[in-house]
This record gives sequence, C-alpha cells and structure tokens, in this order.
Amino acid sequence: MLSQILLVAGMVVVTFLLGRITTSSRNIAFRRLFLIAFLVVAVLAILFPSWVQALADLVGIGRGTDLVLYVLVVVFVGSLAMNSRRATEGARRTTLLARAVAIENAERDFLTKDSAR
Amino acid sequence: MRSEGSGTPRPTEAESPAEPPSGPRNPDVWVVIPLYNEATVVGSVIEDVLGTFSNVVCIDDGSSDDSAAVAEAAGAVVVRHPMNLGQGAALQTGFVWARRRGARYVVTFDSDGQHQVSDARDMVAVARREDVSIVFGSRFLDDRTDPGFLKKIVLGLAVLFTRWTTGLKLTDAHNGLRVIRDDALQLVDIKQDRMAHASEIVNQLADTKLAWREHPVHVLYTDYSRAKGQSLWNSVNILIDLIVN
Repeated sequence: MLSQILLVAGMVVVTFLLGRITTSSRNIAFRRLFLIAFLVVAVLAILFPSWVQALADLVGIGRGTDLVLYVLVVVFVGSLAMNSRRATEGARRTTLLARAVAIENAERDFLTKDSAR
Repeated sequence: MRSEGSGTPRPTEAESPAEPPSGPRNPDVWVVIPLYNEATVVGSVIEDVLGTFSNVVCIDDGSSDDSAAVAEAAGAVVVRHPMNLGQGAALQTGFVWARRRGARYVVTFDSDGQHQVSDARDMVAVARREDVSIVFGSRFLDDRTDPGFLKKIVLGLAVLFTRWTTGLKLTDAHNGLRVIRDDALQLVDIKQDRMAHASEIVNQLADTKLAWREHPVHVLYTDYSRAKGQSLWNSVNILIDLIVN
C-alpha cells in the first residue's frame, strides 16, 4: 500500500517536473543531478542486491526486482514526458524561424514587383 | 489602421455602406489560403476569389508539387514555408502577412475548392454592416451542406467540446471559412501547427470577448475534397494534441 502510493505519486511528480522542464540553469542542474543520482543508485543496486531487497521489504513490495522494475517505469514515463516537451519546444522554434524566413522572402518579392509596376 | 476604442463614435449605417468606399474588390481585405499539394485545383480557386477580393495570399506549406507556381500564376501573393509545418502554422503566417499589409479584415479560405466565394463576400458584408469582429462560417445553419453521417457525428462532438471549453454557442466548430477583423486578429497567435489549430483559433477568438456572428455557408464536398479530407483517426490526433499541448 505504501509502495503503491509512493510509486503513483512518483510517477505524477516526475512526469510533471520533467514535462515542464525548460532551459533555465536551475532545471538543467536538476536534470543532471537526477541523472547522476539515478546512476549511483543503479550501480549500488547491482553491487548490493540485498540492499534492494531490504528497501523493497521496507516499502512493502515483495521482491527487489519488482521495485527496480517499478522505479524504471516511473523514470521511463518521466523521460517520455521530458522528450515530448523538448520536441514541442524545438518544433515551435522551427516554426517561428521558418515563418520569419518565409515572410522575409515574400516581402522582398512583393516589394520588387510593386516597384516594377 | 483604425483604432477600436470603446468610446470611439461609430459611423452610422448611412455613412458606412456595406461596400468599402475605396473600391469594389474589398481592398481592405486579405484572403488567407493555406496551400499544400493542391496544384490541380488551387488555380481556379484563386481566380474565383480574385473576382471578389483583390488581395489573396497563399501560404505554400512546403508543397512537393507545383502548387506555389500555379497559385502565383493565378494572381495570388505566395509566401513559401521552407518546409512543411502544418495548416495552423500556415494560417498564422498568413495572418502575420496580412497584418503587415495593414489589412482591416482577413478571410480564411481553403485551397481545395470546398468554400464558396459568395459566402465569403456575404460574411465580410455582415462584419461591416453589423460591426462585428468575427464572423464564423457554419454549414449547419441551413440544409445546403451534406457532410455525411460519420462526419456529422464528429463535427457534433466538436461543437459540444467547443461550447464546453469556450462558452461560444457555435453550431459549427471547425469551419475553415472565417472573417476576422484586425482588432481580433492582433490577439490571435496560433501555436498548434497541425490540425488542432481549428479549436485553438476558436478558443483565442473567444478569449478576445469581441462581438461575433455565425453565417450560413455551403461546404461543397467534392470527390476530390472527400479523398483529401481528414480521417476519423485524425480527430483522435487533434484531441490528443489539444490535451497534451
């Protein structure tokens, strides 16, 4: 029960946080720290499987491998949210750039034709 | 450009005729036509529009056929996107262009021949006569249009969704034929590049709180437009675009 609450809450928080991350230095730092922490935890879990099992027992999940799987799902969903957000921002920038180029070119042609008349 | 302060005295009916004073072909109107691979039909569409409106801008959205050349030969100004961005992006580019040219009104029009120029002309006249900022076309105000059963259901759901999210009592939420006056246009900034712009533009126009009307239009479903038309799957994409972004 405790684990279910933690995991669902984690899923929501991670999705929300990563989904709204922008390019401010605080957010970039947050993302990097998160990645480093994730790496450290992963290494520890490989080196000391019994720790994972102990943690699983603590939050009420039967097996350590299940805990690893659940955490992975949370991180994966968060990562999807972050990528989708970044893709949207990239597309927006592309659109603005393309529009500026298109208008600029058309304006030049338009004014040339206008003055030729 | 005329300002629209609330305290500005408006000309009376006698002083402001339905036709603009400076000429018969609506020189203060820009017709905005997004264009993507419609080379076979867009020429006749533009010629048709030019009979009533002297300013037509086509936004070629990265067509792979010679749509842009056809549009230009037919007499439209063509603004070329360097790549395909989507219809929403094309409309916004058209709006930027029209505003730069000092347009008083913008008409959004489809390039595939399903809209009637006479409807657009009537809608501009309504906007002038009734002094409203927005005129939405609606295919459900009379019985000229037959969208077919499935499309009717999808459009019906879109209407409910629009009423729920914007409070506008529209009868046709996704009609591509609209007239937008400059005071409303400057508050519009379409960010949905793909098809979800249809809902986004209604939302933004609703947010302006400016006066609007609906006007009956006849949407012509030719075999051509049916073949190119949006699938039901795309409605799912639009819905998800709206929720996620």
